[in-house]
Amino acid sequence: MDMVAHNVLVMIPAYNEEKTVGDVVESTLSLYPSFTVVVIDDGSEDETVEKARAAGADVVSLPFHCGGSIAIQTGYLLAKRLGFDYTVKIDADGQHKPEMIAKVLTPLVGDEADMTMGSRYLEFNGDHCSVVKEGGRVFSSAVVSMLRKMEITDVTSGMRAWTRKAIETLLSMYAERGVVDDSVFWVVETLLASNNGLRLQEIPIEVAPRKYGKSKSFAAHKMLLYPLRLIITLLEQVIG
Amino acid sequence: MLGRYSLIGLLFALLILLLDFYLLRKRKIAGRDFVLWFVIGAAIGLFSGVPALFSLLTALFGTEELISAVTISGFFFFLLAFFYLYYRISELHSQVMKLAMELSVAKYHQKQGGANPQKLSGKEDKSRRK
Repeated sequence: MDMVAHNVLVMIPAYNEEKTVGDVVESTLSLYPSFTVVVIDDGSEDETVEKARAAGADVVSLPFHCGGSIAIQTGYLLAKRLGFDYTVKIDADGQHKPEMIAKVLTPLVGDEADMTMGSRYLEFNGDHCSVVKEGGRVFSSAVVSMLRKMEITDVTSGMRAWTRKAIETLLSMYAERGVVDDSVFWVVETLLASNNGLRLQEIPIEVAPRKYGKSKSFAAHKMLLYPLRLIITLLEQVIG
Repeated sequence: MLGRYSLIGLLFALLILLLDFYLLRKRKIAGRDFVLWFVIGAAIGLFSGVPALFSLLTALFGTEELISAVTISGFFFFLLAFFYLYYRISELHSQVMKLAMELSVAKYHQKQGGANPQKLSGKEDKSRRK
């Protein structure tokens, strides 16, 4: 599939990821020199912005730390305003391999899906994460699969790609809502996309182990409240 | 038969719960805020509907006098005001986040040299709709 002919935005939300963001940007640009790589800086206090720029990325800086869900929506807004055909999101911590970008884009370019979600469990064996994180992933994937009557193995995966139509649909949905909690953002988005008739597809991806630091979205104290947040999210879907 | 205080409490609880569900349905309140106020409303309803539970509270806190009508009215009034302010803060928080998004995209564009300002300001979309 010829990706070069398309107008693709690779967004990389980042908060204090100075140790890894440069490598992620460099390897993405070396594989896809025609793609626009933008780091969405979520108010980092370290040298994330400088490292991203030095590696060749454009940087959109939020004025203060707003949270992951707002950083991602900023990427959507940018994609819509600049009229990108396709948008891909990868993490700044180096876990998402840039080689997988082509895999998640292929169904979109072939018009087989409006939104693709990279799954760490379809063909590969996950990302060797903690029991708590694994529990959250299994629980939320099972709930969403049951609700949407389609098998989703990795609803918490942050490697995703969207068509322009999907970006516009999701942005209009988020405009009607308050701030979505970071921990349930992908669950909410999957449900919203599915409820609005967007075609979803899971694509097997391989991820690398995290080199530095810990995941911010699945800290143990947040995971204790995760089932409650998930139930509230589902309640919102039912009542709304 | 329910006492005066019970009736006031139940009406107040109903008001809180109805407002809570209404705001959630209109997507004007975040999920966790909905749960907080649902629990508060349900607790008030429970204590008002079963006044014997107050005896437990008086025993627990060691107070001898039951709460007066003035105090309970004041408590409900301030709780309602607190509910409103909580909702307003939540709404303003959402607006601040949306402004932060818009600002960061606009600043990015400005730094890029403003190749297509109509696209970034959304004017192109509006004119297309017309």
